[in-house]
Amino acid sequence: MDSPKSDKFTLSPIHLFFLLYVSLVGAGLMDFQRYVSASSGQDGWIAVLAASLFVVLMIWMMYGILSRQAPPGANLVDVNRRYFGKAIGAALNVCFVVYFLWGAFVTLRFYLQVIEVWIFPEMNQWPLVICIFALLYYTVSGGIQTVAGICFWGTLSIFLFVLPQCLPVLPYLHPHNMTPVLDHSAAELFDSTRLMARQFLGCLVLMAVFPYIKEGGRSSKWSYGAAGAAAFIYILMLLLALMYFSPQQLKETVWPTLSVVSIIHVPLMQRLEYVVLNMWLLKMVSNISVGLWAACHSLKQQLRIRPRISLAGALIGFLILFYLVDDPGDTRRIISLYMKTGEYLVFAYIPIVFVISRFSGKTGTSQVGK
Amino acid sequence: MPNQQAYSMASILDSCKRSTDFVTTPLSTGKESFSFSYYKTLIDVEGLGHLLHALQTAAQTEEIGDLRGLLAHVPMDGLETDPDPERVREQIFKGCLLVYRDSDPEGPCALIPVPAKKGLRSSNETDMEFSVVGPKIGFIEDLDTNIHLLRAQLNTPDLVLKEILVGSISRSRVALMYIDGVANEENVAKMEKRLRAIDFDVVFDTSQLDQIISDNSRTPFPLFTTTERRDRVVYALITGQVAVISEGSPYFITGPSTLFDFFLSPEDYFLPWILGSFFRMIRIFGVIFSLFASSFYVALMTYHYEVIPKELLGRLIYSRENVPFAPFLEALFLEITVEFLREAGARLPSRIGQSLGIVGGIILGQAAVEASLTSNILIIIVSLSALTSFVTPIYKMSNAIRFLRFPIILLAAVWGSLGIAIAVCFLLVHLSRLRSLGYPYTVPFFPVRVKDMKDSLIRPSYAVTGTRPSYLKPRSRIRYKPEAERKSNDFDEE
Repeated sequence: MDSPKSDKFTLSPIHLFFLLYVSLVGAGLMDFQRYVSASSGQDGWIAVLAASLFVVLMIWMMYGILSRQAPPGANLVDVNRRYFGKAIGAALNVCFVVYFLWGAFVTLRFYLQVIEVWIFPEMNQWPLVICIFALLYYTVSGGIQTVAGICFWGTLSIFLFVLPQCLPVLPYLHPHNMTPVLDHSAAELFDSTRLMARQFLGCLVLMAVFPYIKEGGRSSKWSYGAAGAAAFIYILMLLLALMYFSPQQLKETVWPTLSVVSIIHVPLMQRLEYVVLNMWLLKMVSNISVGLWAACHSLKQQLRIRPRISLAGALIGFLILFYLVDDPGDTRRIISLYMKTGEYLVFAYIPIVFVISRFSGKTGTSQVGK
Repeated sequence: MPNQQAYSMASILDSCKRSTDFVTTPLSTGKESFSFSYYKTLIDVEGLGHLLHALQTAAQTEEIGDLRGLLAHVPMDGLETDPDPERVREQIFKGCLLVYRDSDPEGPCALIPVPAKKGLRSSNETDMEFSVVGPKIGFIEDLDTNIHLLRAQLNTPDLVLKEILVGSISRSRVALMYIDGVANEENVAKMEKRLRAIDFDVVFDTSQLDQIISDNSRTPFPLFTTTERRDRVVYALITGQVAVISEGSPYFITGPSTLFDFFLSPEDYFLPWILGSFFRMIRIFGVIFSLFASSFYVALMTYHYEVIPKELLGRLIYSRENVPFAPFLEALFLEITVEFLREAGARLPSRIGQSLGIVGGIILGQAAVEASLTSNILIIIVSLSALTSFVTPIYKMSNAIRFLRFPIILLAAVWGSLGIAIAVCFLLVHLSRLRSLGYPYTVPFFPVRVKDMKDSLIRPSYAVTGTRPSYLKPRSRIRYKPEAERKSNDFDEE
């Protein structure tokens, strides 16, 4: 389908770490603690761990699928067309395009909601939205290299800015909040795991970016590394929140991560969440542009629409949606709808395709399936 | 080549003779008389006198019948007999004499190179890129001297020089230099292709070529390193870059460059590596400070008072309680004042520049605070960020940084620290999109090249920097072998 990519457009395997990390850790990092601990309380970290292992399994399956394709066809669009036929494959692909776009929109909407509530309650959002859209257009139109670039800086910013901030919080923690360990039933833990796994829906991006990774087959360690890093950040944030808030407080706190950060003060600054939340934009932009890129790229492969046009179209669509989805209730609804659909579209889809590819005769060059 | 047209000898002579400094000296050898035509303003007349005298003496002892006989007595290399008219037109401006027989100006002729007249400055100390430790040799406006300076340090036949003529009117010589076996031929070919494709009238300076051949002209960042220091060019060459200089310019450009090339100074390599690394990190921190300090002030003072601890907030409010402007206008006013000072200082002789600094910096600043036009804390921030913008060793980069401050301040005034975050995003995306000679600009950080990171943020010891950076795709990776004997011994052991 696609000709071999020239050096200018491919990425060395290490960049998969950044692309995938950014897709796995999204805006949900701000408030997942509330959902995860709702049913399993102080044992939530087990749920995060289980969900991470589940994602590792998903990534392993995706590599299984991709390794059974001939190299140029090893991507989401071609896999669907191969296993589901032209018509159903095309329909599935359009579904995934919509899903990528939806994910990007949800992230943006959620982030701006936080900004609106926390920092600029009175602000007219439109100029800001248009400015961010210009930024997104500029990013995604630079191609996969630029998207990977912003992902790199987004990942770096988390590790540079967020991790050091955990240290000043330490004196305020109450480790006894964590006991008793394993105090919840399997059903409760499963509920939490399921809620947690929804944070990791972005893992499907792997199938879209895979053809652009040099020596894609050998890149798996970076993908697992990204899953591990994501699990680390989530567990860290969860532990901080669990030990910082009492269980009742945690239920009432809308964005626990921000509330934790807000107590930090360094010699020249306090209320660091203002700075952290704003610098989070870098992370959000990288997350959104990965989704936008995946959507535009898949659309190009499926319907031969030029990416620039589909990108502009997507952003205009976002603008309209922005106008429609305005209050926090609506935002919450589209997010939960996104996550529920995602369970089927991603977590059911990957195992199904994995099984099909395992037993299908229509293999590519590698013939592993037979 | 642009503007190519056929010349004949007669038309060249006619067109040259319109200038009064184009003169013809006759030389009679008894049997035949010859004419020497040249631009007397381009030639060292003393050298010419010696040559004519030698020929005259030769003519007295021996009969010289034709041009070939005459040339046999010229004690010089590089004579060209029967050059085509195009070549004559070119070389006559490069300090050559044109010799022909009086009786037959259209007939056989020859070009004799004589020492060119040089009205150039004799001092070649570095002006712009000064360093305390290390050599202070810089380039001057003469191409041959510059090439001599390079060859004097790189005594290898692998240092290859290619000359290209650029400019339809100036016909300037542009030298393309690289080390064969180190630089990747692809880079050399790419640079040569771009240089040959240039259609321009007069080349004043290499930095014009820099802009014409750069990968992306819509950026404030310099995409090739511009330098007047010999050690910097030599270092670029030995790591596998390509260097270009045009006639009449004291600046080399080297490429492919990365963002970090602009923050390293040759001095880093002359100091012990711990100090070199420290100074380099100071430089990088200074640049970040310079970019964001005043916009951070604007963001905090306009929107996020909460971020400032109350002890400091008191000082801040006290310092600007009488200031009638919004923080944005206050910062903009001061930043522009600093730019005025810099621009005026750059156009003035250094002695006047000094007094200008005193008037501008001290008196203006003091008066502005006393008149409550600005807070003294902002004065500290703005002058610090002006100061730190000059820590980059390459002037073009400090220009870019000072320019970028203004859009960042504007965004900070509109959306506070979210505006700064937007600016950071734009900046990083822009940097990720830039290419220098086809190579990513932010390498080795993005695309990640872990092996090349060792000599970027810090300058490690020579024991570990024996290889060339891989992103330049050099023909040989090994630059030198670090001391092989060094063993890690436990104490008290041989």
